[in-house]
Amino acid sequence: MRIDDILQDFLSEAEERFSLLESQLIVLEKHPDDTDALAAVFRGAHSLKGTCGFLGFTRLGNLAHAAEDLLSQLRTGTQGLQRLHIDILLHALDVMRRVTAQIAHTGGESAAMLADEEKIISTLAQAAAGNMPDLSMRLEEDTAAPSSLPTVRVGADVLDNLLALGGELALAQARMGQISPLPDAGAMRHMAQLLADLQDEILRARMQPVMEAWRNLPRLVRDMATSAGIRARLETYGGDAQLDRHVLDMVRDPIAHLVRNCLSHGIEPADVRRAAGKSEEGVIQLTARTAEGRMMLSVRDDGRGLDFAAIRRRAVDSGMMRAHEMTSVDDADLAALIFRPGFSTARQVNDLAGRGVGLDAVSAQMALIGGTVDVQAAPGGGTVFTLSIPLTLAMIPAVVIRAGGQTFVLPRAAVAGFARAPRVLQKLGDQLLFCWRGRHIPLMPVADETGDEKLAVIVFANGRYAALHVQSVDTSAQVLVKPLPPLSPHVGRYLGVTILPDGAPALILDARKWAARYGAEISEDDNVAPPPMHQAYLVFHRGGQRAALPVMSVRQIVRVDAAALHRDAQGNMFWPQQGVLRPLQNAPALAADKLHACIILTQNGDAFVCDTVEGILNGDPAVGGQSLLLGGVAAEVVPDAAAPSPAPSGRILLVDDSDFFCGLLTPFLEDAGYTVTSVPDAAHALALRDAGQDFALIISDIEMPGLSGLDFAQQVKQGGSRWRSVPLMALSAHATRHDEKRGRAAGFDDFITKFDRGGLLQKIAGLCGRS
Amino acid sequence: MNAAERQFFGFMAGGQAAYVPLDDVREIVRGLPFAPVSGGQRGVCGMVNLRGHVLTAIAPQRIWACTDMATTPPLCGQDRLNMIVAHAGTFYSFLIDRCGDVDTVLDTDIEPLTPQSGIWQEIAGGICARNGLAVPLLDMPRLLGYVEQGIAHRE
Repeated sequence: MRIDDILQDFLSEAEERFSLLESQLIVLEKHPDDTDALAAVFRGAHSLKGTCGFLGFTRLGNLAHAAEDLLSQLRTGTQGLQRLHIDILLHALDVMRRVTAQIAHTGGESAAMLADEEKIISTLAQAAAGNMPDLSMRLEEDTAAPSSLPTVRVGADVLDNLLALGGELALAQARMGQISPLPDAGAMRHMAQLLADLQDEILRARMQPVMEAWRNLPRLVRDMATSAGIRARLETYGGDAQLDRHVLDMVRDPIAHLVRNCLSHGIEPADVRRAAGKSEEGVIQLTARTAEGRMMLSVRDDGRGLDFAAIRRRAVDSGMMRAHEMTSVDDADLAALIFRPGFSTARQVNDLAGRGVGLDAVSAQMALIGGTVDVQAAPGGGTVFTLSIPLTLAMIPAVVIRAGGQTFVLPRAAVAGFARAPRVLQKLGDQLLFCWRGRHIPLMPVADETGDEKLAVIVFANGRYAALHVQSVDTSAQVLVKPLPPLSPHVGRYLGVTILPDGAPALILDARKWAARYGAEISEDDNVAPPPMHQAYLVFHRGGQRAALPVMSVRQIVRVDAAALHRDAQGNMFWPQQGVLRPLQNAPALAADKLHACIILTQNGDAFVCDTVEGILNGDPAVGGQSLLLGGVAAEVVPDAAAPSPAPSGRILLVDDSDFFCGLLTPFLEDAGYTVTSVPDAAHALALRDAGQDFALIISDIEMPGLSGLDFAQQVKQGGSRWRSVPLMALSAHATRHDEKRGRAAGFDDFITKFDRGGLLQKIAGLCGRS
Repeated sequence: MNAAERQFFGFMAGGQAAYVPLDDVREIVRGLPFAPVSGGQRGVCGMVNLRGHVLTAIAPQRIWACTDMATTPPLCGQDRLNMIVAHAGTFYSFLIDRCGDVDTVLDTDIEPLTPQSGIWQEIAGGICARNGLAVPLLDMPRLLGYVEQGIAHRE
């Protein structure tokens, strides 16, 4: 964010705040006993002072500070609210507006004060001291100040409507694309690109990365730490998560309050930290994550934690609690007290703390947007404040799934893995169980009706795992979360709704609720083993033996007439297939009374014969050797490693730093008959080249850590490279024409979007064929 | 003294004709993108996308047939008609089979429902006679309240 942007944000917010304060003061004038309105005005002045403090607007900050002093006297009841107080405060607002207008005009505060600026500060101070001053001042006109700010403020509903219309336009465009033959394919592509850009721009106007609310904080931490004589630094994580601009505006001040709280109450002086075995510099961590169906913004410090003894004392001294009640109050209840209005353990009032207003303001502000604030602390062990915000409108990475013939969306953060669900499932009571990483977890239907569910999506939240039984995992995408419409059934199961690219609405599952309600608890210790390479096995019986093949290596199962199978003098068995006798691997003696047998065809081209197919079960290769436990019974794993390695024409190298995406794409390509090697970055890929590995096709992401996709392409295609003639395909979430031009110049042969699965297979087939 | 008159919009759903106050009807749209929702009771059958706004879809035929059938033919395909109704600032889509006419009904022509009217007593404010048939006059707050009660009960 540029300085200009910060300034514009400040000016816009300041004007909004002035208008709000003005209307609240007028309410107070009519209802002087309205303590809520008085508290709101006080918080407004307090927040304005804080913002001015770290933006360096001293004059405006002094005005707000003086107003806050008077409001503090009124709020505590030291003085009764009179009409003259309102006059003074409204005059102060007018002066603040003029100072702000000057800032808008010049880009900063000048040293020279306005003529009435000093006077209103003095007037406010007199009033705070209980001396009712003579209010005979007149505001001077300042012709230099601009009358309007150089921004256009547009209602959120207008942007929402634009967004909706953009989606509608995309839908209409998709319908036009179904006209065959297309009147002008080039023009249609161009229109699709323009539409995508238009939607991006509208979204950009509505949504903002969380980090925008953090931009000013490093300076705040630096200045306030210096002022307080402590050392502290700020670390941020997950700031690229996007949130509704309005919601983000509402949490901007609470976050700043919490950071100030960390500095005033949490981080200790360097010598104290050193004595406690901590580094001299304290750390404040800001984290944003969309787990658990809500946006969780946390502010964590590694300071002294909460002083529960001081909180107890203050609670008793202030009359919030009685001394005898303290025996039954635990630390969590005590911690909750710090969000009560007027509660502060600071011994003196200063710029950092002491009025007991900051956390009160945070709690009140969060309530306005349906959020909550929570604190966890241990003496000496730091403090974590967590703001939990409902996702009324947010972009989240998600997975689109099909279940029971319906389409659902699942937040990607909640997905712990995918697996093929066994055809035969164990049932315990009414509960289907699914074996995952050696543990049994509940397998839940997503919809009331079920279809041909064959996959399990494992979701995780709050230490609990559950598996969702689904038909397919379709795509991975960023989706816009919207609130559920009224009268939606099973509200508790869903966190919102989104609109898919085809225009259809889709419910977003609240994985947290599913896992909490149905999930099995698995500790981190239980969860040490990574998922085995072949998790699901086809179990079958042949010659009285139970055997298994990794399900990924099975291409087809054919039921055949047992009498049609031939056996030669050496005992080898053959299967007549399309007029050719095909040898069957390790053919056992089939049961004599069998009329039918099953032929299992593998991806490697082998054919196995068996009496019956039991089903698909999960196994744990850690059991060892060539046997494993499948459904609680041992089975021999048929070795397929001895089979010839796949032809190079089927080998694909996938270069993508997203484990999640590789996990999604690899089984998809393997199901289509390709053998996929995935690596997380270009360096690993080039190491394979240098080791003499060959591939029929290389698919690479563009944005990667280390060497970018473009640089990687140049190295692949440079003279003398072993892979110079290997087709190279760029995989991108959203490639513009310009990106594509740059990619082709770097050496990419083709481009495809990450979520166009049908197109991906077509292009791969074409490129592999060429290779 | 002239009797007061009100305008209604007529429609057919599940073989039943019904009237809804004309002021409540915003538009009729054919074939909006639709997604079924399982677990819907008392008529809630899914969601539709009305120009980027997701609305609750209600199948009135399920309400008066008192069925929770997951799929009813009119719910599928491009021929589905969406009657967009506004109530208390919120829009709902009623999936109907056929549009009727706008009709003016005199208050004196409205007959009360009897306790034997079953479901209609809960969702309609009366009936009027048209072509020898009794046409129920739907009362939107009561109808939506009835749907909501079903959902609350289910949850």
